[in-house]
Parts: sequence; C-alpha cells; structure tokens
Amino acid sequence: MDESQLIAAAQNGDLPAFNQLVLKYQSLAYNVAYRILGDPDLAADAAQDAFIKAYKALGSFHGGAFKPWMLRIVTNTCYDYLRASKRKPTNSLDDELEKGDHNPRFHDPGEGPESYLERKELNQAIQWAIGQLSDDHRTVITLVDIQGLSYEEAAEVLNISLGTVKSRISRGRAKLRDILQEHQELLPERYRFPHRERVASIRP
Amino acid sequence: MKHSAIISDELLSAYIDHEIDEAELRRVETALAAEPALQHRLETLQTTVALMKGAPALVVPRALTLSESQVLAAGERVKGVTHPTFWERWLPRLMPVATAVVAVMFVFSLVFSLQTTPINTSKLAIREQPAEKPTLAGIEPTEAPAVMASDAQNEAAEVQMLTVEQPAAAESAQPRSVVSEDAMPVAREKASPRTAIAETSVPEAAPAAKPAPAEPTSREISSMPVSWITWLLGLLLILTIFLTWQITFVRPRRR
Repeated sequence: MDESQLIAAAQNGDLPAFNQLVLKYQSLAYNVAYRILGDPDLAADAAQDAFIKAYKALGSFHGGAFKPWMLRIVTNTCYDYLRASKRKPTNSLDDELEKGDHNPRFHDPGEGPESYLERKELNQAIQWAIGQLSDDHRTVITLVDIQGLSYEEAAEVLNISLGTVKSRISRGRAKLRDILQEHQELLPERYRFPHRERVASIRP
Repeated sequence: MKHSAIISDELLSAYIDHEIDEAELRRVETALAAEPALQHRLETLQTTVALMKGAPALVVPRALTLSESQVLAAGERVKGVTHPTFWERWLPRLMPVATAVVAVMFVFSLVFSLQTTPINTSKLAIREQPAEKPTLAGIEPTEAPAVMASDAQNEAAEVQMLTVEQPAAAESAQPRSVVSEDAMPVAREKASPRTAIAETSVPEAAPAAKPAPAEPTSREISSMPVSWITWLLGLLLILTIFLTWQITFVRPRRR
C-alpha cells in the first residue's frame, strides 16, 4: 500500500496501517523531538505522544503532504513538553557530558571506534550549542539545517510566513556561529572554523 | 560604503540556501568578490550550516508504533475492537452521583414529612365568622356581584393567614364555617356571584352550607402527597443503590 492508501485505511480505524506510517516517520519525528527537547527519553515520549495525537486527528487530515502535517504535530507536542516542564534543553556542557551511557545511539554506518567517538563529540557540541538558542530559532534550525526541509516546508510545519522563517534561520545561524566559534575546542579538529588569516591569504 | 554593512546575515543565509532572486544574487557575489571580511562571514556561516547538516542522526530507542490499549486509552476507535458505548463509559461515573442525589432528596422528603404531619393531624384551620359583618340585604343587586367577589377574595387571603385554633367544645356554640388549609379553591368558588350571595347571607343562610366533616381534613390533603413522594424516593434509592453496586462491583468482575 502506498502512503495515501495507508492514510485512508488508518482513517477507518486500521491501526496496523497507521503503524506502517509510524515506522516510516518515527526516525524523523524522534530526531526532531530530540533536537528541540535535548533529552533522548523525553524525545521518545514526545514522538509517541505526537503519533497518538496524529491518530486522533486523522479525521481532520484532508489530503496534501503527510510529512509536514505530521511534523507540525511533533513540533507542537515538543512545545507542550517544554511549556509543561518549564524545561530548557541542556544548558550546561557538563550536564551533557555527564549523561555518559544515556547518550543517544547513532546510526552505525560500519565505522570504527575512533570515528564513532568523533561523531559523539560532534553531536554533544551541536546539541549544547543549539540548546543555547531560543525555542523558535532552535526549531527552525532543526527543521531546515538538520532535517533539510525547504523554507516553504518549514513555514508550513510551523504555520508561519516565509519571511519569518528566513529571519529566524538567519538569526539562529548567526548566533550558532558565534557560540561555536567561541567554543571551538568542543568541536572535533576537522570541524573547526576557518581562520580569518587563511581566508585573507586565499584572497585573489 | 563597505559591502559588509549592506549585506545582512539574512541575505547571506538565503544565499547559502539559494533562496534569493537574480538581482540579490548578483549584489551578493559582487560584494563577496570585493570584500574579504564579507567572504569570511559567509564562510563561517557556511561552516555552521555544514555542521548542522552533518549532525549525526539518532537511532530511535524503541518502537513508537501504537498499541490498541494506547489508542483506546486515548478514547479512539480501532477497527475490529469492540468499543464501550457512551452509556457503558459514563454510567459507572453517573450512577454514584444519581444515588447520592436521590438519597439527599429522600432524606429531605422524610424530614419534611415528619415535621409537617403532627401539626396537621391535631389542628384544623377554623375561621370565625365575623359577627359584625353586614349582610347584603340593602345593597343594590347590580352592585352586589362585584363587591362580593372582591370581598370573597379578601376572605380567601385571610383564611390562609389568620387560621386560628378552636377548642372542640366551642364548635357548637357559634355558627361558623370550617375551612381547610387549602381553602383557596373554596374561596375561589365563593368568589362567584351566586355562591357569594349564599355565603354572605349568613347566619340565616348558614345551614345551607355543607357541614365540615364531609370534606377531607387538612391531614388527608397535605400529608398524602408527601408520603407518596417519600415512598417513591425510597424505592428509587434502593433501585439506584442496587444498580450502582451491579455496575461498580459485579459487572467488572464478570469481564
């Protein structure tokens, strides 16, 4: 069955059909929730809550793209979680490092332990840095830069104008750049920022 | 004027994402070619974006598929699963409330009944006929009905407000009429011209009125409905208690 058939079946109460959709989008939903909330366990709970809400709201889905519709529910659920717990994503790098074994697992493309450690280090630095952004900036950065959505898709997901997306993405990136430049030592060596002198030296 | 001052981060971001039009593209590229500082700004932004795009994807820690129980707990339906009806869902919550309401009503009814019954059994509402009340002998026939009707209405009001106790021994001493607590209908009847004339021509015309014992006493009139309501509420209370017990304890155990 293709996606539209699965949706139609799920709208008639076919739970296995809906679970096919869950399997397709669970990674996306979980990753978005993790970047917004900054906690792997909370992200899993939020993603599952979002799927329950989506199942309940399927009656109001009248065609169109399922992915932005689903992501809107995910981001709204994450905002609910943030509001409910008054919880900010991890602000302290020490907190992030203290999580140790509770850190989320990454997709393993068959890399060695050194490469895995490097990715882990990179993930910690990124998560800490985006945790310093406001909720709105972090969400837009997550959708556009991390998940690769277009500006239009992000605007649809967040129900905001294209101009607002552009504004938030540019401000978010500028702030992230400043944070990461200031804490370059947190990044693995090959991910660090270019020096200005080098840029000047390559000037024609 | 320096290009870096007129090329904003917003424009550079849009440039990185190819989200700008041709005119803006030419403007940005001209500025980048002319100013190394702007080029550095662009490069750091590009590095930031590349870092974000390279953020590792995480493995979902557990399957997020939904179970039937999760969906049912959320109040949703699942194909092939029997769902509780509206009443099955709400009756267990409503029955205890209904029982409590009926119990309160029953207690009130019982208390009211006990308070009102002794008074009504021992007392009869008796009204003395005013001795100095003038007869209508001298009144013109054309005026009489209207005057007497209003007079009768006033009497009806008095009957309710000024009922007096009368010793049993005094009953035969004076001509009088016996009026129950619910004298309003009688008074209204008196308000009609014909009966008003008959009534106001007492004491001579008094023997024509029906004697008191033929009518129901106040006890019979007022306590009977209360008793019935109390009985009814009592039965209803037993029924609701039984249903609550069945719904709350017996049916869940069968499931």
